Amino acid sequence: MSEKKRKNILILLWAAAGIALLWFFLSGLNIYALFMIFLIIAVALLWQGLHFEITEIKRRKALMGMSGFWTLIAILMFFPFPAPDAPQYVVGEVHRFSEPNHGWGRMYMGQLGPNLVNHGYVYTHKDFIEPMAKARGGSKPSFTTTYPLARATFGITTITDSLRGPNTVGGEPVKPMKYPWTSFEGSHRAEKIGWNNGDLLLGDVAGKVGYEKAKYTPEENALMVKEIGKWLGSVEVGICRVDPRWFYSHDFISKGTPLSLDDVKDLKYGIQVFTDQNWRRVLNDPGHSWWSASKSGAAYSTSAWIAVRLAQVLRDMGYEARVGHGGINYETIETPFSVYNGMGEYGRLSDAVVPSVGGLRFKSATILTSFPMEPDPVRESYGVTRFCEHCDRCSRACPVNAIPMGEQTVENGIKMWHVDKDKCVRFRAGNLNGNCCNECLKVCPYNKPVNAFHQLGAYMTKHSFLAPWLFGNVNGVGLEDWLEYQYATESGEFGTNRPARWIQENPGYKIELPRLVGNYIFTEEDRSTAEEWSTGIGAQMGKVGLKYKGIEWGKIPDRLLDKDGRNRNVHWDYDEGELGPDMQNIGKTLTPEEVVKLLTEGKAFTGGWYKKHENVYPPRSAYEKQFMTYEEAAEKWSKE
Amino acid sequence: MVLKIKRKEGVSLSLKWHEAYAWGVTLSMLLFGIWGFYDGIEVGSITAGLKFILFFLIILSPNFVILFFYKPKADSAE
Ligand code: SF4
Ligand code: SF4
Repeated sequence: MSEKKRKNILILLWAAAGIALLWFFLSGLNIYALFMIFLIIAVALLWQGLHFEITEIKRRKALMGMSGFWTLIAILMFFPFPAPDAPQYVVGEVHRFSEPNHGWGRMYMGQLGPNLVNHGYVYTHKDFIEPMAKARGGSKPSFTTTYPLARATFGITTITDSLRGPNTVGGEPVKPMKYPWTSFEGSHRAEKIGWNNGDLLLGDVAGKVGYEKAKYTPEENALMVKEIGKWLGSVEVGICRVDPRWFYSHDFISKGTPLSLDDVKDLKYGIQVFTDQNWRRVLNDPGHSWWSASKSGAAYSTSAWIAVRLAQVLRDMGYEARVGHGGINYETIETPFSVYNGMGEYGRLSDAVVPSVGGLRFKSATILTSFPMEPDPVRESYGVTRFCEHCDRCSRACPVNAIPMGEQTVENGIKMWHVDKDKCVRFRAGNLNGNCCNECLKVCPYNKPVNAFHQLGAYMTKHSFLAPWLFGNVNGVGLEDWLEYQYATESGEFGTNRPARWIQENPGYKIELPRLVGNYIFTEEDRSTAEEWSTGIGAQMGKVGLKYKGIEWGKIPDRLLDKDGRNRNVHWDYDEGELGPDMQNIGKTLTPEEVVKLLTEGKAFTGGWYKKHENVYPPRSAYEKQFMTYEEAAEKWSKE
Repeated sequence: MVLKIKRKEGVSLSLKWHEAYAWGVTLSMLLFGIWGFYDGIEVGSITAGLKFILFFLIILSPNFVILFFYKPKADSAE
């Protein structure tokens, strides 16, 4: 081959490398473009090495260039650059959240429609429904009560529920039970008793504080609580001061009882315990079977059991202590505890991503107490929010498009990504291809085993501004997409939880409002923004039109569509094949006059963070009528 | 500057410092890739493990080419 031809080929190769570089940037850092760059450079260098004169100086330059490049990248990836500033979520006036108005509250109270509130029938053979309803005091079957494993794991929380606190506050627990073997039930006793007669500290704590006999300093108290919490089985234990806006304004279990902040004034600290749902379980079952609800129940009940026992220790010592645990037995919203005790940060999914407990796959329980403790150090960022800006795996994977793709928005004075809870709950309760979901938990890059390799990854996303570009995948295909940890597992490839089918409401359905359920009134302002969607209009799966590795998101196979192109509302194991056309909702429609009468007489209540101040019964607290940061609210609360 | 490793009589390795630097960088990255490979297998996804090592082999391909092929011809070497 002539010299000129060889040269031309070399020029062509370098030009191709340049084009690949351009492709890389234009495609939003597509990993295949990255590979092309390196492979073409390798071929160009090989061509040069085999066909041209290479001097020692040229070799040295090439070696130095290449080594220098990778050294720079290593510095950018591994150097402990300061983490980004901890995101400030509170940007406006924040109102307490009404528990009947969270996703599950709305579903169980019929606000999302009669078909969904009757969802349990599609998971249950009809011969079981009657005896089951009888066993549960007449309540409807649900996705958590219809499989033996889910019943066993979730069911036990109805027992821990009664041990959450010694008395009813704001409707919960509905039936408090006295904890065995003690007469001390947590009302403030002047005389406190310590951990034990000799008041000796646990070995590890004694080592940390440098003395053996308890002095009951807040620092030592916090260390003891963490030590005991971990020993009882919690993966991590977080401690923070309480912001009273985290208390629900109205209770779900007792159907609308308002919670007065005066009743919980002693509860200044929150101790949060965590149970890992297990990486393999989460990876393997994103709602394909009864595993999904069962593992949720297992982790909830384990956290509950840890928290109930730890709380009783504090009560026995003479302090107030109340437990909030899942399924649905909380007096507070749970996620801010994980954020403000410094364990995690809000991600695109609206839940707290806690890197040390597998990102999103934990279930926590919280003890609210008067036991004085040093809160965990001022939180710093884990870089989660920054990472989520470069990642959208959860959002792409969500079968019902409940997770936002774009920028953060402000709701209730909180700036973060807000999931469409009505859509999510509809799919989780009404998943006709399995049970429950957790597709988002499965695909989140933080869902990894907690080992040194993946902790290094979390370290990089925290400190390196380059890591989110490499690991994330918001525009192109990122490393996480390419590696596909899901391969070779039972869960299959990313995105194959489709086609998804879920319970829809009948065509044209619109809920009649205002409506009374128990003591709670849902009004026009509570109407679901996904109501039309819930009847099948625009109800497409996943990200319509997005293609990746041969999967086209959102393409519903024809066999699942009816003649009008609607995703059919068909159930797989019900004899008739349908849920039935006339499912009964719960609750009673009211006239506006009846509403006013019930509210002003204090016989019913209503809330919702989005309602005008004057439409909330009982009225909002002082904390909710002004802008306050977490620090300001917690400080004020600590002095009440 | 030359890096000299002499273990015993007759066995010695002598590398110019920039060669040693390049080998150091390449081998460390390769080791990282092997760790990723091991981790992938350990967490039960052989494909993820293989892809991890493949990722490192691809981005290291220019390194290997320079180390093995981008050098003065034997007869023109110093
Ligand atoms: S529907 Fe599934 S994937 Fe979507 S937000 Fe809910 S749990 Fe996550
Ligand atoms: S999948 Fe990605 S975007 Fe979603 S929460 Fe996890 S890291 Fe954030």
